Amino acid sequence: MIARAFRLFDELLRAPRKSADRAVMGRDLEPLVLAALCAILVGSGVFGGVLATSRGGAQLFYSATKLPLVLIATLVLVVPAFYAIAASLGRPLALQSAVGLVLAGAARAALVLVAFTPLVWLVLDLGASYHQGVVFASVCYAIAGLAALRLIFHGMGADVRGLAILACFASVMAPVAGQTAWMLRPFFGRPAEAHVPFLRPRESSFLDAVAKSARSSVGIYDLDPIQRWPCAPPDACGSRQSLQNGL
Amino acid sequence: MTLADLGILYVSAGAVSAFVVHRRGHEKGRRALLRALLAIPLWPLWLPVALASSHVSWSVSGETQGTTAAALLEGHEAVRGTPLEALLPREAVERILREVQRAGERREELRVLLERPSFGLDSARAHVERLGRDGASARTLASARLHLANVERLDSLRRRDELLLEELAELVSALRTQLVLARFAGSTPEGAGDIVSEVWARVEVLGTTMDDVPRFSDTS
Repeated sequence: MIARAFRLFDELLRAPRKSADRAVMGRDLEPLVLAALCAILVGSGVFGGVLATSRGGAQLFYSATKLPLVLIATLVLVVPAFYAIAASLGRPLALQSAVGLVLAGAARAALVLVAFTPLVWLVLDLGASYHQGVVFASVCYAIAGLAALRLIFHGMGADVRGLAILACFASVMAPVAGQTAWMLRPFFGRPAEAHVPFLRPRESSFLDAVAKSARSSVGIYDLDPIQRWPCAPPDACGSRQSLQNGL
Repeated sequence: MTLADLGILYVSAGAVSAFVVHRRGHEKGRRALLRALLAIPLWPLWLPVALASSHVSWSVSGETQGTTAAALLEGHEAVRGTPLEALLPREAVERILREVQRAGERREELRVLLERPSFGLDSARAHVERLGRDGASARTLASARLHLANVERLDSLRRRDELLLEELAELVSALRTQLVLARFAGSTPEGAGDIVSEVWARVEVLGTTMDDVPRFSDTS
């Protein structure tokens, strides 16, 4: 059974077209789905654990648990959308084939993340800052996501219509995955915080966070509006104090 | 609705799914239990796959279908992105696969149906003969003959589908080797067009209704 799972991992990485055909045809789907779930749990768990090495402690366990949760929760939410998109754009699939194809893609992404693990560990060990680490991890996610989409693209026929289905699906998948990850953060743990919680309270949204993180990575730090002025209302302050980038 | 309410609903649906997976599965013991338990947290993903697996019974014809599908996909891959792709475009592959799938499912349903005693061909024939010998009324005999004729037609349909699926498997296999050969030889595949026409002819027959079914039992 383990040997078969490793053969399927190998197929997912080296012959994505074969895995895609297997999913679309619905042949031997159950072993493929089980192997894909294993790859997702282990692959993203390992990557999550490595992300937390800059912080260590309980955060290692938190991230190794939460990253697989993010992927699985996202898949649960987006598979019906993929099924509907494929059907409405003229490539109807059986529901089990849609599940198999998307899971195979996600498993491929998780395996690619495992491949990035040593590099991420090295970068963090060399002293990358919190924000640099976040950006580097985002690049890894993007590359892994492209690997997943390539497999799904093969399953959808690898033509213009397949590309349209893929584009629609990616436009659903990316924000859902981003928001799910945002809700289950932190994965690194902010350096300023003494204790890292399992979950942070909800604040703003994923898209706001992307913009903020991009600014922070180049040294422009935002402050909460309540912190921006030392007195309220601002007009009541004697002089405007510049508190920019005061984190 | 709070997140906790949503969670309770999700787990409840998962528990129902686990029950369904366990009831519909062919396996027993620990493996069956694990398959069912997996449905609790992952029912939106696992339920369609588990239920589809419980329906699949890979008979000889099922394997023929799988071989046909694999050969078709391989043939298409051999010519994809080349001028020869027009011979076997993706849309054609998908349509053929759909017809093969449909015919395979119908053949399997017919096989199961005709195994039931009430649909047995031999017993229906024996029943008509017995009624004839016993001097049954004309109306009773006519009803029994109608039942026999219907069972014969169902049997003809099953045999036709089996024959066509086997022929299709051989044709598609030949088409694949022609296309692969053409790809490596860099030439136009001789005879590939004829094979494609033959394939389409059989696919068209697979899509026909029972009215078009020849009476195989009469000719055999």
